[in-house]
Amino acid sequence: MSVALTVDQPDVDVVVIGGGVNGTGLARDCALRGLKVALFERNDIAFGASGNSSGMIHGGPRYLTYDPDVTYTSCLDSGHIQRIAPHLLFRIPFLMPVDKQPGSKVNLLLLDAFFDLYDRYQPLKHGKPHVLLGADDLRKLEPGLAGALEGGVSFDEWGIDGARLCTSSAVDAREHGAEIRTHCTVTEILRRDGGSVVGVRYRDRITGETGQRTSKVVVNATGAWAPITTALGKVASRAARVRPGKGIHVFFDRRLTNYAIAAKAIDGRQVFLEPWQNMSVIGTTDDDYYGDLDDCVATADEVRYLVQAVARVFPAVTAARAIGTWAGVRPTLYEWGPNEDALSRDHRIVDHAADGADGLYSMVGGKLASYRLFSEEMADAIAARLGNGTPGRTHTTALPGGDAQVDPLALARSYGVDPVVGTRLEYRHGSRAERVLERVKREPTEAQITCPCEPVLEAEIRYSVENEWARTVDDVARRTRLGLGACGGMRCAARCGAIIAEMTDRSPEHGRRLALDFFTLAARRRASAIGPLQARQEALQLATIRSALGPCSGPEEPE
Amino acid sequence: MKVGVIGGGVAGTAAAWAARRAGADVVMTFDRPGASSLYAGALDLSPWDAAVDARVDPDVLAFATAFEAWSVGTKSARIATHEGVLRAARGIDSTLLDLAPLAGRTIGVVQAPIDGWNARAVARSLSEAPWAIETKTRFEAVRVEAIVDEPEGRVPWFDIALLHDHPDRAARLAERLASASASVDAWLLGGFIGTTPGAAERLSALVGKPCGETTSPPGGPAGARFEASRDALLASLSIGLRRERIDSVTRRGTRFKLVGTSPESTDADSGFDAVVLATGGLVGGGIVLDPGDLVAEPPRFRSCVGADLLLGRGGRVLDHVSSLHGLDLLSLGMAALEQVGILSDGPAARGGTGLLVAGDCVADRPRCALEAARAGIAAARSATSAR
Repeated sequence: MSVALTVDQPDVDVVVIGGGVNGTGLARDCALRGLKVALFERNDIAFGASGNSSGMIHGGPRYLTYDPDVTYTSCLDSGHIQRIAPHLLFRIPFLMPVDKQPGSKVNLLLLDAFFDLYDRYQPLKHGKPHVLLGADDLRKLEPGLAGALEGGVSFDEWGIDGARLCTSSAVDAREHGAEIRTHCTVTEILRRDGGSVVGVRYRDRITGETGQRTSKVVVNATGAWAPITTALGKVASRAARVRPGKGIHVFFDRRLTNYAIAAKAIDGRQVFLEPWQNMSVIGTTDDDYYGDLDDCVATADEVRYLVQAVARVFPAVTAARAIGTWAGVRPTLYEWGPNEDALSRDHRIVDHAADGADGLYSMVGGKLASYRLFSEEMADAIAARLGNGTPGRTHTTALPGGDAQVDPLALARSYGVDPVVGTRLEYRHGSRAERVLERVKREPTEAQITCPCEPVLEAEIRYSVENEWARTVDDVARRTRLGLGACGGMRCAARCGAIIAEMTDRSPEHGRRLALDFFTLAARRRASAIGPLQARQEALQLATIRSALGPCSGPEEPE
Repeated sequence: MKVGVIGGGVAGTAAAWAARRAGADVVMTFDRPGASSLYAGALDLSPWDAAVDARVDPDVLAFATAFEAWSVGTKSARIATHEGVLRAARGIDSTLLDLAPLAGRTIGVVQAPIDGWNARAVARSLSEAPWAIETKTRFEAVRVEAIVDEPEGRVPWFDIALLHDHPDRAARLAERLASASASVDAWLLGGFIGTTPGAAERLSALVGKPCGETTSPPGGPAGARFEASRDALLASLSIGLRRERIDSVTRRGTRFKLVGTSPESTDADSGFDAVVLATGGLVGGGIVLDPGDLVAEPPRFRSCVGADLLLGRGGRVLDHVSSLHGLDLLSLGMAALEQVGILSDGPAARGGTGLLVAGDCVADRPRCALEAARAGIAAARSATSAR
């Protein structure tokens, strides 16, 4: 195909492929430096590993023994993230119990010494130093702990909603001139005469619209998709090789504990139970993944492996109501041989000039906690190449909503909404919660609580469609946690679909289709985890969908 | 002839009614509300996208007529769901607005600040349905002060319906509707007109125009109207009622005994010539997903009433799985949750005589109210003719 490209005057400076934490982080960093940016995301913002992680920007004590640099940079950057997005962070205090067994006294002392070392990194991320605890102390803190315990330690980590982090980076990028397109896949990376990279072609996967953007630089920030992306530019996928490691989490209705609890799986791996937002989560697995990255769900094997591991220290988990799972694929640096846990969490920038594709870069590896640093390194390289002398300032410039502290209860009072609504809104939007609530002032009907489980106001759904690129019910769920409670969207998905259809000028039938798509997707994500209580709920949901929405299958009719 | 019926839903009630009509002594036991109390108010023989004008068995028609809340005509009704879908139904809870006779007219959709009810979206959605376009039926959202204040709009629909059971509130609602708009021919409301059968007729009489509801969401008032009609019907037939959970059904010779959970189980619970199990599916609690205890008992689906029964789906037995960790619904498919049930030959439990099954507890049956009534009547017929 012959391409007429005005390469001398490209549309943008940088095309970023991928809407995860690195892609949105890079788009923001470049935009803040005054570069023109266009970002393309094949699915949705935070669709992959970024939105399906353990939801922690932890320092990774796990890496301390063999990769202390990763621990250092993670802790340092975790501190930066706290400064720019204080509203998105919440403290997760951990307990790590040690079983009573021959030699356990020594093990406890070793653990104590190990955390002495980790404590040196804690100030970087404003964490509290660890505390050595006796068995009685542990049980006082978490009465549900079982087994004969020698003692344990406490240590501090920070929780975060990865999807919110990515969304707010993308919003900030747009506010600094970036173009962000979701559900928009890059179909080809364009090269001049098979040499340097000059832009991309794209296709919107919802509307079918196609187009192209010319650019000086193209960055492949597609995580586990990275080798597939380079192939779109006829660069051997080997050049951006990753070793995809699938990790799953199971979540439970409400919080089961106040502390996160570390446990050992049957194969000796470290797993955990953590209170996270308004639920409890257990995680995680790390297994080589060979499946479809666009369709990655937890299997029953993985779920049972985790439940069994956590049940050993916290037996009540087997009776708790599992309401769903999430699964993501880590883009770990490629290496043949080591087992998954031993792979480096470090990151690397690949300059594909070496592959004959000048102007194409791939960001491979990395972890949530150090996304900002990774993005900055990439942006530094781009700025140097393009002769842009503006230094990076993503470590000091607040993310949208992170600029000012807001009292959620006062907020709820002044706008006349439920205090829980106010608290959850403030968590997700920081000071921008007011912008959501201003909608309610203008249009009181938007004060309706559409999703009672979370809860989510109609105003927030509309806000996410208007300002945060939400185009499907699943997109709204990612941004607002709508439909992720025990009822699985039974009470809100249809309404949410109708709102999206209305706001995007589509028919009510399209809205119902969006709702049914969400039910299908969500059922697949839940199927491997549900127990007796939730099974009944699922059956009720099936009956309700059938009676209120109609048949649950069949292709969408053209409008 | 003594017939025991376990389960107080549509199937159980129909079985009790039919057995009584055949001259049997009937004792009905039930414990908690099930799927019938959660239903939407639509009466279908099969899922509603299938044949809708199907012939209704005369006995089923007679049962529906005896049932105060229900209305089954010779033709299908056309109703609006609370999500704004227009659908056909073979019969309806008569508090729902039947749109079929209103074709070509203008329907006012009552707009009020009630959680989960969005009149504008419902009206728009209904207006764009093929039937509405074909018949030139219009739906318009009309602002009506249907409730008193804002907090009232925050409670579940059922509670608002309960408020409207009071004559003063019903009169207030009627007055507001009557003065709201002269140009609409009928009023469509969400599931909040009232919790007793006949609520819509009374409101329509006060307003002077047809008024009715959309379908109910689970926990809406349609379930309450079903329960009220059931209780009235059972009382009129002097059917013995026991609110008790039955643990198991045992057979002694040709007679059955119901073993309940209460300590005063007596001879009244034995000597049944036939027993109809109408305990419901997974939603109702008749079918239970038993997690097992990972030590002594394998996980599996089972009937909540212990008896010699086989469970399955698609005509095949769904045994315990050979894993201590239980069923894998990802491979089994979530649809199994609706289809799994007792395997049967017609109304009789497989291999058993005198032990009959009806309704959602039976495998592979459509989970529809009118079908449950049909199955209940068929079970009663077998029960009373078997000996």
